[in-house]
Amino acid sequence: MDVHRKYGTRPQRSNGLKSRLVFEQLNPWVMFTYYILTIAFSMTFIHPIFLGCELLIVILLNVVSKNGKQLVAVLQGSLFMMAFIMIMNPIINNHGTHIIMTIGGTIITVEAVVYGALMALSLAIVMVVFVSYNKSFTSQKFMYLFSRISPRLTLLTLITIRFVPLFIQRFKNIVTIQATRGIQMTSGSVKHRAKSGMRLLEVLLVNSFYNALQTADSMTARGYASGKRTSYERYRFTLRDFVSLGLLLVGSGICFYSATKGVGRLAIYPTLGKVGLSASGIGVLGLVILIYSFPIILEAWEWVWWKLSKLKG
Amino acid sequence: MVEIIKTEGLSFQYSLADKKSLNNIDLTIENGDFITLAGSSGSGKTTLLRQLKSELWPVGKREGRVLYQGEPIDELDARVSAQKIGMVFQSPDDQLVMDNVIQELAFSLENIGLAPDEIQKRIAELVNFLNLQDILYESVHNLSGGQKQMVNLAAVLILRPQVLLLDEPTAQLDPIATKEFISLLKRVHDELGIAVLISEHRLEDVIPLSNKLWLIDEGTMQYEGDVTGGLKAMWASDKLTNFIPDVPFVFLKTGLTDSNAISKLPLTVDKGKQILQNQQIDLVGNQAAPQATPGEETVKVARTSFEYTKNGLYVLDNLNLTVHKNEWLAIIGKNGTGKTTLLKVIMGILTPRRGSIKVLGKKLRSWKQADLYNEIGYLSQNPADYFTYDSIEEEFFNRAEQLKLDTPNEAAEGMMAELDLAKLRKQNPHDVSGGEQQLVALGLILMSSPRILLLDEPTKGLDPLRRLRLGKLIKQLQLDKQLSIIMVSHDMEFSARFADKCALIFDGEIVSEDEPHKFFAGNFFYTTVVNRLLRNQLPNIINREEVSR
Amino acid sequence: MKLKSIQAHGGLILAIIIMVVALASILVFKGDHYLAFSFACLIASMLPFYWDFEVNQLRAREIVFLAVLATVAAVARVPFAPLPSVQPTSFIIIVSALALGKDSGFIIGSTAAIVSNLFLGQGPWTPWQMFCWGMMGVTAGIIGKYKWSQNVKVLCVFGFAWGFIFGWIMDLWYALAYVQPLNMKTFIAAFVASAYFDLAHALSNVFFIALFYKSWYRIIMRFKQKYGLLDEAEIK
Repeated sequence: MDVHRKYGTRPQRSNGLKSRLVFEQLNPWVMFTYYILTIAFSMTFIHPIFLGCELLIVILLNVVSKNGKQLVAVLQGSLFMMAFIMIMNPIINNHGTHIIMTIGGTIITVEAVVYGALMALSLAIVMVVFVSYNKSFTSQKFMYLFSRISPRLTLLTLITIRFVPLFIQRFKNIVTIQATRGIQMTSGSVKHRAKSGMRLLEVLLVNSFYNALQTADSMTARGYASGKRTSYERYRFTLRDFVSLGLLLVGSGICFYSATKGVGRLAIYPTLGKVGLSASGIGVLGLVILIYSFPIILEAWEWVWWKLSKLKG
Repeated sequence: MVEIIKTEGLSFQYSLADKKSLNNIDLTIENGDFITLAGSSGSGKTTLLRQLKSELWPVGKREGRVLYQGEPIDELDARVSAQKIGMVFQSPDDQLVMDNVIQELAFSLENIGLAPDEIQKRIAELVNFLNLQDILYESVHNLSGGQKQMVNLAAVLILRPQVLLLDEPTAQLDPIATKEFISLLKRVHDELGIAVLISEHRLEDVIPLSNKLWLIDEGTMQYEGDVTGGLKAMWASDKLTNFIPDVPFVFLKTGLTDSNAISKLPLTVDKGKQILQNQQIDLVGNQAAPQATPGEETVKVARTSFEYTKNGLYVLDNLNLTVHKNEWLAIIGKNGTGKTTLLKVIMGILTPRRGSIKVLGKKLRSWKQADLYNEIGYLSQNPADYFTYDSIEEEFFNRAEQLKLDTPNEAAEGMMAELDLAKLRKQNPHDVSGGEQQLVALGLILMSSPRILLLDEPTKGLDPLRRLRLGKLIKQLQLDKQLSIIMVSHDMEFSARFADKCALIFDGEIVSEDEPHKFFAGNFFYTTVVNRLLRNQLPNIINREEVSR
Repeated sequence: MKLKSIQAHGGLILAIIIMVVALASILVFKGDHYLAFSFACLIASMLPFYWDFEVNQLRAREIVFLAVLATVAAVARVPFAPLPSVQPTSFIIIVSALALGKDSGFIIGSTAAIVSNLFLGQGPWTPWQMFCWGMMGVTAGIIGKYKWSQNVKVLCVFGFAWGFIFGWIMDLWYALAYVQPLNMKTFIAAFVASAYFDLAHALSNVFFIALFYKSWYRIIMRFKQKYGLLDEAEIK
């Protein structure tokens, strides 16, 4: 009988070395570029076909990286903002030629309604991209990007990140103990609970100040502030990273250049244009889809490779 | 021998203190030394260790000299000092600066400006030496206390020090983690030839490794020399007698050293047993009589199970437990067996999935929370969590007010007098020592005159003298106030000496429960040092006070 | 000497350059790139503070002191999650800045924003929150220099005002990005939509400042001394 199994109370070890996705093994700069590009595209190509494809792909990406739950939560959470954008645009904007109706002197035009809907779609894409970002772009990767630009700030942020779970644990203990002294946040009026909450935070602050003196000593003892620091970088630039980054940059360069020529942007004002795409429009759409699907393509190739190697073996 | 650090006539006085914390100290640490520094809390151990690392010099007046390889230590280049003199502190958590293990190791090397390649190489090397690969990318938050302390040691070792200073590194660890840490330290010393100076309260594990013992009291060195001589010096001193580990204590107490010409005191159970057998020594045991006569039932936990999440692991599994009035129950067991969870369930902080709990004859559910907390006092491992005011007397006065006592001021004064805290009353509760903080927290709990006291690892981090005092104090309170005490602890010696009943918790259940002598006599691994030493001749003897010649 | 002064004012110089470039490009391109422009302003306003932070070598105790305050400000959002209308983080940033000055106030505020979003989720709002809480720290740090700032009533007004300013700036980002054309109507609509939350934020600031300002200020000052971080002026 495996008696240890029963008390494996520790949380599942998150091994930072292994990522679920191939995309997550790339250099953080490549990943960051991808996220910047997806957001930039969603704001550049204001066109229903473009935005529709983009939204589908980022949703698929989140499904592949198994963030279904967060995806639903975030989409629900941004409904209010999307509704606000969809309603506000027609109300404050009465440009356009196709008038639907007039409400109390405000002219509602088809153009403004379409624009509002596209903007809401664009917002939804940004929100969904951030779901993937929050899952794949760990704080370590974030810090890696900034350690070059701003080493001291990075260090401060890293110490703060280390403190967060420690302080939350400490806070839980304080809540337990102070409850026995009559200070609790679980019942009473909002005022009472807010007051108790701040009292508890005050205890946390004092205890943490005391304990953190040892943190400072531990830093000093290990040579902090003994001279110029270096920065150890866990993430190297590999050939694969260079190739990926190159492809992303060249591809997106073409897209943005076309965008300045009006390709892939639906004409809305003064009169709603045609939704159909020109040949160059279809070309750019293809490129945008490829760039958006970049992580999924990597994943698919991985899958195929393993299938093939099994067949051979 | 090559000397590494040397002090000459070192005295030190903190800037706001009225007397010296260190007095005319002459010491030498040489290559290959493994030195144990012993002394009670507040005797100056930490102050002394800090004097040996100039970056950590506290503000105050310093006389005499500290030399590193013949040069004044404060003239040493900051980078060299950081690398050559390593320091490990007490708290496993607070020393960690980074979020995961590899960053913690790299942090030290980044500070001294090493190139990334060199950092990579040193980490690889150290990870192989210490076998850290399984936790290398782990968030430090998910590590156990013992693992955290190992990472702290690793983050110093990676700088390749010549001497390691350790300030009570195992005070916050459980006994098993302590042994692992000390054996790692032995490897570091033996295989790498790093000199070690370690300050400790519990000497049992470190003394067998040491070639020198330093004793300090009130800032003055009492003894400096080999271990046997040091133990004899401790035996002669009132204050330090309690610090002697059990095996040598039994030999000193029974006078075996003098009559049988034992030149080197045995330090381990194995050595002790050998001497007793070879010389055919028979000792006498006087089993202590029970001090308390338990009354009616106060806490009854029946068939109780608890899980933290739905379909989760049962941390408590069909557990049964009964405690009586005027009875001290010690629950011992490893970390993660549900000890603290059990206390929280009894307090109603966690709701059990199944089972019934009765407190003072009434179902737990029918108690009003505030009333329950007046009847059950809970002393946690971190007394600082109790404090909300700026001085100890304010804590007591406000507690008395909050409880709406008839004569709040008298009650507060009375409690401070009873626990001998009156002299500290103006101090901030955070500024007093760990043992004193515990007394303050205990006093605050006792203000509501609880009938049940729950103690969570009360001896953690206490020196032997304060541990003994705390035990005696709580015992007295139990007898005077007819308290029911449920204590969870790793400390078998303490449980054996003060509890009326001991229970072993394993897998969420109480697997054995008995009067301490019967309980420990029935165990083979899980028993006190004295019992293991004398098992062949005196199987019912469990603590050193019970042995004589 | 020259190099030193560039180093000291580099942040400001860079900030001015960014602003000029941004303004020029707006004039040249004539488009309605309000979002890009607002982003440039955001970066330009935060840069001098970050620059100063990078240039000054901090001791271990200073950096840990700031980290403790930023962490407490960030984790304060956790226990108050069941009370969504109560916003404790702003209070903690305001008190810290009053005690420590505008530079530390900025760092604590902006770091609290990044770190709290690391567990609550990053989004396009992160830079705006960094800006808002950072500037809350800066303004509190500035008024902290004057004696009248010790008057709790004045601070309550300050906290109340920031409750709304914070909300308004946070409204800006999506109005700028997604609503067109930009006019007063847009802003007023956005402000009305968030008025309830802003009022709650403002009132909780007032509530915490009125009840807790004195004790928190005292605690921070006490530890400033304990960490040996008092400036010379304060020792006198």
